[in-house]
Amino acid sequence: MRCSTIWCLTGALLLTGWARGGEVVLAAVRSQTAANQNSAILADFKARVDAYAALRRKQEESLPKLSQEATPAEIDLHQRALLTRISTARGAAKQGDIFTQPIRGLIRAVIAETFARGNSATLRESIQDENPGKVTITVNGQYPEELPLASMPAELLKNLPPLPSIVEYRFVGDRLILLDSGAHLIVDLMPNALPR
Amino acid sequence: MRRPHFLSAALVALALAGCGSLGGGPTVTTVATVPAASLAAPTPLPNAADSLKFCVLGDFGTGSTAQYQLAARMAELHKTFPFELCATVGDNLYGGERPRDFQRKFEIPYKPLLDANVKFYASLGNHDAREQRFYKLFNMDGKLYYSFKAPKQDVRFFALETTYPMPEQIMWLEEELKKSDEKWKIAYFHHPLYSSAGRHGSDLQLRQTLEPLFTKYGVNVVFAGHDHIYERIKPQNGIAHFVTGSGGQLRGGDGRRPEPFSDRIVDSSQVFLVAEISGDQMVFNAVNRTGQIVDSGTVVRQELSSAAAPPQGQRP
Repeated sequence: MRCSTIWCLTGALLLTGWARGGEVVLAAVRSQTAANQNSAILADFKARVDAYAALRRKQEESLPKLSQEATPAEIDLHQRALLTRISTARGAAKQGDIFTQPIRGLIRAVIAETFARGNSATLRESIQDENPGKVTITVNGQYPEELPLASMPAELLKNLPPLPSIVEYRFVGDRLILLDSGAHLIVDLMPNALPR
Repeated sequence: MRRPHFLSAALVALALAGCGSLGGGPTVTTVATVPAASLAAPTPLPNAADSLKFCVLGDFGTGSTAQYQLAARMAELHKTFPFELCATVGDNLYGGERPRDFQRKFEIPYKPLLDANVKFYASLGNHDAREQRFYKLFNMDGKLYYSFKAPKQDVRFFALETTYPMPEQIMWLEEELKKSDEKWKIAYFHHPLYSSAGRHGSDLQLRQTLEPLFTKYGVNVVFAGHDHIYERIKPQNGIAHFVTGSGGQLRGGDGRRPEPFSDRIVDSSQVFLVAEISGDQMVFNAVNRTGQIVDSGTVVRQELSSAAAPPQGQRP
């Protein structure tokens, strides 16, 4: 998994701590403990996302493969069939299955840190640009067909935990969602993801 | 289209810009344009046999009468100015994307062009489903971002996906730009780095991400959309920018407060852009849905080694 800014900062803090003597060493040890905890949280998140990807792969393999010459009708049929199959296979899916409480805390911290270190006004402006706002969305449901997609700033994508290419982070209002962009499925969502 | 046979003192060199560097050689970009008041005598498209002729279209897939009217103008122009490709800057389909939408919002209005073998090379906007990359007539080859060498002249196009500029895409872009030795590098995508429009305006986050790469590797021209107006920007850091986001949608009056970087805004009619590259010159005409030329000029690229030291580009 790629080392993003916030994780590198943790390392830098640790090194600085060791260089400054006893008291700070203790703080550094605490940082190390926090870093280990973060690693465990990230590993758990990755495992959950990978499990989703495996389930999706299995469902997609049971569908006819899209050819390079696919027509809009075939593409449409494929997307809808994939959505139905995945949604059925995850019938018991609920909010927080992937965005567990620990990863939600970590992601909120990453977003807050990105805002604090960057230009928070332009970041917010970019995210709010055609952001669908307070529409009703549900985990394991379809991303509403008529809704545009809010932009994700590169600065933020660089810092968030990486995802396989089948899923994307997107904002809907101040909710961060995991979107399966090929199936149009909302894999999970977390509320209050944007700093106030 | 009117084709006056001169280009003379009526042309005013409006802006010189800074320099790009490497990846094809440092270049400066100048833009000579026809003042709005003199557009009865626009810069003629040379229509040379070996030139690259292309069009740029954005925010078009509405299925509206206005989209169809503009598409008819494109087809009409194509009869005398046979552009071979059309770059789309996103929002290719608004609303539903069922098979009938592909027909009503794309295949039917542009049928004369498709029948004449004009190849559309799409980039995606925030209204576009990601599966459009599999749609054969968009020539994306299943990719969200890609580059291709133009069939004529020394030109490479870079189509980007700016709603989701993940690190992999930015790394890919840098590699592609680095290895591109074409004289002309043209990037196109949905969100404008510079725009005066009131609704969205410049995407400053995206500018921060892309502009350093564009200037480092000598991108000459950038086309974007998203704002439903036509706007030509004074060259910024060696790059000519155009907003071509009124291919179907139109936000009338949205350009009423031009930014200092703005050179020409049209917010009263749908517009598409046609351009012709030959050697170091790109002649362009922006055409509205009644067939009127609403902007016109020439972008000139020049190797820095043979150019006079350029003045600094204007910064907003």
